[in-house]
Amino acid sequence: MRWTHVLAAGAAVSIGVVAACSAPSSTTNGTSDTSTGPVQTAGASLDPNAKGPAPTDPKAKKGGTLTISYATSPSSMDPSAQFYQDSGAIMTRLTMRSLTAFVNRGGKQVLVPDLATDLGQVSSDKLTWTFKLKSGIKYSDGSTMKAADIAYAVKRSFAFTATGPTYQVDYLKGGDKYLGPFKSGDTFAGIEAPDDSTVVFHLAKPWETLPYFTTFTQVSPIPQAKDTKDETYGDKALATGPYMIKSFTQGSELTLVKNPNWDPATDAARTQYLDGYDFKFGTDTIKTQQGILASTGDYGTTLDWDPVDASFADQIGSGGPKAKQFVSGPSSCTITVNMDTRKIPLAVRKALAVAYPYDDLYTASGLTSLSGRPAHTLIPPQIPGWLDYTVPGLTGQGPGDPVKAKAMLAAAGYGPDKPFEIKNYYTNDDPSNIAQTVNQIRKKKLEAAGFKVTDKGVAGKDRRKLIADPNGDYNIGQSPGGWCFDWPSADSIFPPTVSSTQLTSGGTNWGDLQDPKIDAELARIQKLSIAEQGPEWGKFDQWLMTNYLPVLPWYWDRSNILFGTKVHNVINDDNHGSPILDSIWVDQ
Amino acid sequence: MTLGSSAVAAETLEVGVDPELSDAAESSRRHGRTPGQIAWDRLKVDKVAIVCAVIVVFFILIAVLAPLLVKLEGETLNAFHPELINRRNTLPTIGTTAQHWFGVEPRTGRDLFALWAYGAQPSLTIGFLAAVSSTVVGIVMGLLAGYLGGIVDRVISWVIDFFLSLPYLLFVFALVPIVQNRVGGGRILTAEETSSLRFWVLLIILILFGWIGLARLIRGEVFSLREREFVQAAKVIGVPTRQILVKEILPNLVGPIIVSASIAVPGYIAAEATLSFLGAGLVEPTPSWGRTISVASGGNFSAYPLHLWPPVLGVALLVLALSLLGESIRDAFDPTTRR
Repeated sequence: MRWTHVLAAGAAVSIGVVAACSAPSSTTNGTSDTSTGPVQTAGASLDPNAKGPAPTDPKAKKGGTLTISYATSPSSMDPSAQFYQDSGAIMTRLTMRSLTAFVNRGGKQVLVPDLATDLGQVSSDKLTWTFKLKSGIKYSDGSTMKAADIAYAVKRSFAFTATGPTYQVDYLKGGDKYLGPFKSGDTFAGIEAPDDSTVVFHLAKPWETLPYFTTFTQVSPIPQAKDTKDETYGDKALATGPYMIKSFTQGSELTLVKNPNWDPATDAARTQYLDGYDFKFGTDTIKTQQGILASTGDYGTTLDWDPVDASFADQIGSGGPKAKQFVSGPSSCTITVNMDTRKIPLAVRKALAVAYPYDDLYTASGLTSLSGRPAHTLIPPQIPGWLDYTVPGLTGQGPGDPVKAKAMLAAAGYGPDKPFEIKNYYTNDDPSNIAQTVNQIRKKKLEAAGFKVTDKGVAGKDRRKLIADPNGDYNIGQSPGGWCFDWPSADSIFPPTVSSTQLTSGGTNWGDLQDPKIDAELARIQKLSIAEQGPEWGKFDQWLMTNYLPVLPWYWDRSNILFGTKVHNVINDDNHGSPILDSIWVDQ
Repeated sequence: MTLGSSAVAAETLEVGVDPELSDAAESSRRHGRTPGQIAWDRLKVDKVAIVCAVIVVFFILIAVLAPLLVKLEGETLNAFHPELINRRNTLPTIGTTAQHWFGVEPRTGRDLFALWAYGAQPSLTIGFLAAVSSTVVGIVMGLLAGYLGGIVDRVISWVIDFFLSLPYLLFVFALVPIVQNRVGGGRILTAEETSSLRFWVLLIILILFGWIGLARLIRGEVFSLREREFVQAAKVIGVPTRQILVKEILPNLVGPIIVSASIAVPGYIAAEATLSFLGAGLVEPTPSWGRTISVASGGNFSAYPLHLWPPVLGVALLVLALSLLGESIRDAFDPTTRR
């Protein structure tokens, strides 16, 4: 899933993808920031037998409307095109049901069947997955859902891969050639609906984590007859969840009301406390957050998931007067500093890791202790199988050690007469001036360690293109500047970031790696079952960092959720970095 | 009686002599004074002008002595002090101290006094350089158009009208990256290269738009001057055109030129600050008041106002002082003003 927030940093970031797993920090109100709190691990567990209705909070009050006000806006509400944190949270929790779903059980995210009766049955050759559907599921207009609608939705998602996810392209049979029903017609070997209650996926290669993918809105049913064949379908999309869209105006407002045809008895994942939700897009962050902290008028029932402005940090920090109005938790992203292993020898990469001024750049980027936690592994802690190792010197924090780095460079054969040249692109038109000052600090600190630094200033929109070019004139800072996992298994992290397919298809990856040994290791682990994969990915992380050091882990991004005093039961979804919207209730 | 009459006579005598004497003395002095001297005498007794001049000199001294002052403070320009930043809210942990006279910048910990003192340099340099250059260009174009007339006048007037029709701010925004790209040879530049290049690009653009007003003014004046007897006489006896322009016409235009130049300086300083504020001006690492104001006016203002006040006061005071000074100079040169 993509990042909704524009990171306030020319720092490094252009994020790929996000979504699904678990970890706690879920006290009902005010899990506030403790800058060095322990990170907890959690296993994503599976519960194929979960039945609706979902348990409700006995203290919860019914009724009322929650206003969610934030700075950006989804470009559409189309379930096939969406791949962002905000629209993802809105659709998966409120309007769109898929074959499977996540529920929060005591701080743990558990995968349960949603429209399906179980978590899918895989064939012995692992290339066919079969899902049986619950009966009597109705759309918000009263019509009955059919299996063919899900098959159609999956096909339709191939037409929106420019903004949506591309896993279906990689894994479904014939997916690499299919361009969606508008261009390639309805014939597609990757998915079929043999009868009204069965959906069958045909795969090109084994995909152990398919039941995670089926939580995506790309698998939510769309009746072909109602499709507008473009993203405007999302404006009036037929809902299967507890709420439906009353009106959507891109860039300003989305109003959700109760879906009368939603049957809680069929839904093990969602609750329906509120009368409706009112999303306000493109609002002024500082003004909104000021209002929420004061909780006057409508702000009492308002929630904002923008990064909290640094000037409010003292009020909402632990022990602060407004700590009860703030919840923070992991998002799914690891932010990194990327290096080009083809151009920088390993010994120099190690020196760079020692010299790098993590803390200085972090504060200069305007990031506070609310924004993230120092990272020392590539896999974030909430992924099952996370291995808590430390490569010496790689802690994602500290001011950098120029003296030690200089000695390491000298040992590698670089000195004042022959310095190693670091080349990077930076944004020189950032109106907040942050990218420019971050660049100055990085340059000064690396020069102090004996590097020669050639910083190349380009406009922000050009930089995105330049750093995504594998033949670009850089040796650090290429894309991706971090990665957000899509489901709680590291197979949504590693193949997309280190396999050689990125370079062969003209993109970049961590370290610009193209190494047969790494590819072989990825292929070996992907063949294992989900449970076996976990610890293997953890070991892979350590093996990669120790032997290749393609990238420097910097920090694990955190969600910031600020809400009025009348808002209750706000829980961070640690797999998405957003609040679990349907579990919120309000005082009226 | 005698007493009385002699007293009257003496008085009459005194009255008679005194005015005569003083008249003679004054008229002999007046005859030797140029309009410039008259203006200077008037300025010397203008309190506003003197106060403003002192302020301007103060800022010039700040700019010139910036390296020395910052050294005295024990700091260097663009030295980052992340250790002085509270990691919880990215605000400085200190206010004004002996080590940091104006505190340090939020997020990065740069010394704000160094940014302020060095920030006066580009402001003043651009202000004065642009004023001098655009004045020279304006004079030349105005003289040529006004005196030669005909096709030259039509071409220059067309250019003037053309530049006046361009939306200034919009055009500058479009022009800065283009000129920078052209001058930089299409290469991608480092921060230092961009920064020094931006300085000159900014200067060029300000001059490009700055000469128009003066050129129009001069052209109009020259139109009336060239028909005057002394110019006609010079023409008749065969004085070369260049000499007529420089020796006969130009001295009569000294007043409007000085007035226009002195009012232009604060205009350019404000323009530099505005453009830097909007992101089309000076870039890191060259310090600039306008850019500091832009950064400081964000969310951190209420928490750390020290970041914003020095550059705001700097720009405001300097521009106000220069404008009032320009006003005083205009009054001093204008024979119709009497105070």
